[in-house]
Amino acid sequence: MKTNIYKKIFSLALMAMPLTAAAQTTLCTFDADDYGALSVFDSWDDSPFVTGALQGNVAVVSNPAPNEGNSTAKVLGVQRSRFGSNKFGAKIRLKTPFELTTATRYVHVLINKPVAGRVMLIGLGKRDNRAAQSDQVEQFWALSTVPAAVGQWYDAVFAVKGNGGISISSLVVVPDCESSHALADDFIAYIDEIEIGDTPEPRFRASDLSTNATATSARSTICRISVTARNGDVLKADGSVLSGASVPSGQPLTIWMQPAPGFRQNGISVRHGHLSGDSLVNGIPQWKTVQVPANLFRKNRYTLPASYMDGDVEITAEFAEKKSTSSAANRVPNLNNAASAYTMVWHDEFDAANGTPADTTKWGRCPRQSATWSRLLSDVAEVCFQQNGHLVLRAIPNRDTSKDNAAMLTGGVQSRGKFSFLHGRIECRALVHPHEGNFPAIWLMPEDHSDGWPACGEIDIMEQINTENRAYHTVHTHWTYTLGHRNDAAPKTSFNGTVDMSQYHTYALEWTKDSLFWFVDGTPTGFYGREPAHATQKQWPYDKAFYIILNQSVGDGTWASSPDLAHTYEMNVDWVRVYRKNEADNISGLQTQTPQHVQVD
Amino acid sequence: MLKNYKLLAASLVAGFPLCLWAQLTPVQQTYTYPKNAPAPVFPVPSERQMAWQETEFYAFFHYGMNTFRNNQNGGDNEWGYGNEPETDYAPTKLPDCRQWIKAVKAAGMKGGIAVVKHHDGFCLWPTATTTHSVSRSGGVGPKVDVPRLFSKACEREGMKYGFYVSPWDRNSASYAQPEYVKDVFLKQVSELAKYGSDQFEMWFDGANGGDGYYGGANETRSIDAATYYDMPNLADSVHKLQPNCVIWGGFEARWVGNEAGYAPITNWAATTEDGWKWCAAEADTKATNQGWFWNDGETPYTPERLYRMYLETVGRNATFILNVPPNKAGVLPDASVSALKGMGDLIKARLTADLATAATVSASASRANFGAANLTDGDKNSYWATDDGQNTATLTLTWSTPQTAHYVMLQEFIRKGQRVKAFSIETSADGITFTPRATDQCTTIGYKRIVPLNGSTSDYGTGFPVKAIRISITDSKACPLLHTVSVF
Repeated sequence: MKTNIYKKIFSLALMAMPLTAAAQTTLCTFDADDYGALSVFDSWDDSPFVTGALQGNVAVVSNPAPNEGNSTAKVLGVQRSRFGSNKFGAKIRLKTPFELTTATRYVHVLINKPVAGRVMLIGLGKRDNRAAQSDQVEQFWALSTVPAAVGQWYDAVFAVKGNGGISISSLVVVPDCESSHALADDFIAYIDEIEIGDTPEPRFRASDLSTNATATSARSTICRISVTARNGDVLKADGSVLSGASVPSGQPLTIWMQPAPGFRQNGISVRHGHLSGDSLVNGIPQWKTVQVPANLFRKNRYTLPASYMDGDVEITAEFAEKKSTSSAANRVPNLNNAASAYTMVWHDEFDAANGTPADTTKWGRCPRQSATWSRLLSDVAEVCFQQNGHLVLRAIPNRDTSKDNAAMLTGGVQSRGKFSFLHGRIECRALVHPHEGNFPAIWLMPEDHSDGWPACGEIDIMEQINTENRAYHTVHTHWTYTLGHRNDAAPKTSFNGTVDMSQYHTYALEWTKDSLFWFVDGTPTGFYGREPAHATQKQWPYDKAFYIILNQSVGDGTWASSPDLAHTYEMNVDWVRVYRKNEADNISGLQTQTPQHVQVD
Repeated sequence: MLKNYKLLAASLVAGFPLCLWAQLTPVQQTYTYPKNAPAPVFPVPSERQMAWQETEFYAFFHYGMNTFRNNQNGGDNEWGYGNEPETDYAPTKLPDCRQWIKAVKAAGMKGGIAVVKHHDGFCLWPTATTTHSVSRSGGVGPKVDVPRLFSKACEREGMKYGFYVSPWDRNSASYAQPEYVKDVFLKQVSELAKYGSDQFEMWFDGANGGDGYYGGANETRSIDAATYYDMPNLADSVHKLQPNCVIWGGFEARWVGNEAGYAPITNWAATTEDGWKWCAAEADTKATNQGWFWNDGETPYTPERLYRMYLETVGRNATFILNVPPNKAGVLPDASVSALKGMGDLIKARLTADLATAATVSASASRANFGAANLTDGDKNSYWATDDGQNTATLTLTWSTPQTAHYVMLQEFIRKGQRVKAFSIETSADGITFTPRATDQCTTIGYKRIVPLNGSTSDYGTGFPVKAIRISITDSKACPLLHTVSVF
């Protein structure tokens, strides 16, 4: 099918009609006086062909291969110089300019060149309404949708469009849009039969398609993911970075959209397939674009079907602004921006059936001891259970003192002996209910208590007392507590700020080798750092693994007030998530402790 | 740039290898670069792209209608709808652009970009294109001309300047029709291009189309962003007036792909390794915890966090544009000023004292006239290179007394193209035994790459004792060219 059809169509077009209703308009055949000035062109400012150090070699010559798909007598030849840039080519001034339209049109150019490599078409022209503008302004740059056939004529196709009102007066055919640094010798490329029209299909196909088959056949077993997102990010389901990730092809992938404050997810656009080459190979589209609307997401998550995972996958996220319905207090970023640099390594979403106890593979109950917070702890089910996707911790009046004579029973869980970590980030979304005597806490203690409290160290991520709309963030160490530096101006050891306690908030701690940062809803609220000058005074006991404690206690008048014995106190924990820093030193990576017998203090 | 090329010979050669058909007579040409310099690897940056890249770190100032409306509706008015009464912009005094630019200078920035029109269409200068501007505003608004105030302030402080002008205009009745671009948008750009004489970047937001007021139509409109704004001719007209002004938005510089203040470790100026166009990445993010515009109650991030962003952007071959919102009084609040100062202090403390200048530098291979001494001579135009075809090499820095090193900084001579694909860094405390560092981070270099030796951009650490550092280029598109190696 290759040669004759094209030749017939072409000669018909030549004889019969110029440009009217026909879909295709002939621009240059080089067989007649249908082209303007010829030269070489280079868009590199310092090109020797721009400075005049070298002269280009371009001319209309005899067709070097008249029976290989193009039998016309004359063609344009250009010497591709190894001293030109990747945008070096043959410039043809058109006898009649054409208008660049907002609708895509297709320029077809027959090309015959001895090497592979991308070809490009550059349009030079001007806006019609700018009298003083040069007509040599670059207006479009199009790579051919048909890959180069080597050593024979083929029909390169360039999709072009632009703002209306622009006339293209010259075309530059770039026969080798690749860097020239490795080109050992110049080569000659031939150009012929330039048309513009509405047909994306090449006028004929080169007989030897072996070089064309690679795009569709050489699919990898790995999908490379790229993400573009503004006003938010798209992460893997576990919260780790998605952009740039390689995942197995042919397997579904769950993604997680993370809107920035003030924005909501509004779906994604997914382009998948073979993205790095031309859009069309032999008329076969190389990629597909699929819109995934917001309503297909559940909790900002969506699973891309296996059929999309067939090469490169480019995800463009849409985040729409929230209208003024949400107040700042309602924004609950479960991760601030920084979290994209982290990988979630441990979490509990407390999503078990209503009434289920806390997961015993992750948590144990805090045992009753003599400290204020621990003096009323109890193992009864009513003070610690999961409900509606939350962990409920309570302090309740003790209505049956026959088994336990404590005035109240309070609930607390700890990950001691089951999970602990050194460095990283922990986040906990929780709601507390202020009331006189209230004393809930989210905090960390070391697995190794052997130094004794407070020398062993304590990190309070969040404490709240009584009716206060205020969150406290505190460290206790030998240096701060025993040596009396609790109220030093620097470094500060305790922080607090106003927080609307009628709302859920995300309380976070970022822990590095030398520093602790506290956050509430992503806002920094405190910092405590290693002070090398006080190293011998146990100022920094935070070089070892700590475990997590969540508890609903009541005060005794030492800080939080004594409790209202008839009241039921409650804290609701939506989730706890722990992240490892993606680029942390290996030595400061997370340590997961194996379960072990725990000595009760 | 080296421009004195020399034409050595132009003659016919009988045995030209590829002239199978002999229809076009090939001309044998030879061309050499002065002083044995290597050929470029394309694409390469233009002069204005080079100047832009060297700006490295600059500020973003969102100030305008939204500053005055943000707190009216719970802080979510980042994108005004376009129907805001002009009188809602009612400053009681002129914005103090000098204060803005002084504050960001203390952070180590070299310039700034001021928003002069956001999506709401309200123009912060007396434009002839619309009445939706400061000329009808309240307070001292009619006297406000942000591009003038801002460009003057920057010139006084020796800082670069540029403007953000939103292509999307939710106020204009003709938005999405050709008339908007011709009679409003391009004219606004031309008006802005007349401010000052040395703008370095004009910022065209990628947010395009959607619902809006549109002169009372209150509807959703969409456009084809690929053609609607006529970027080639917009750029042509800006460059006529401002030859050093890079057009941002994928034309001459591109968005890094996120708003979180980081660039990928592997980062090609041509977007991909085989990209045909030089279009380096700019990373934009906020220095504060709420909007791009001022919100009551917002707080800046810590200097440490801002410093980390710097390492993950400027240190990864991207430029960094950091947003600090001026408040209703037209000034940056004290908290922002001190966070910026803190950030600048960290950059100064950690990235100024270059240990490499006191080191002995040797190279396993060097091109004649392009020796290793060029790496530490403080001259960005002199560089070390290898011979053509020599795509790997090892640089060794040694000190007579042990030093403490936290970072290695590398800079390619990108005027001749970005080349390096992979490298390694090893340190030695005794000058004999070497240990690899940051092994998962050493891919591309580009204009500037800052590698934390402990692999962490957030943990400064205590550093590594070094008597020697070895940097090996292990894969490159062509012979590697580095103009600077620094150790901090």
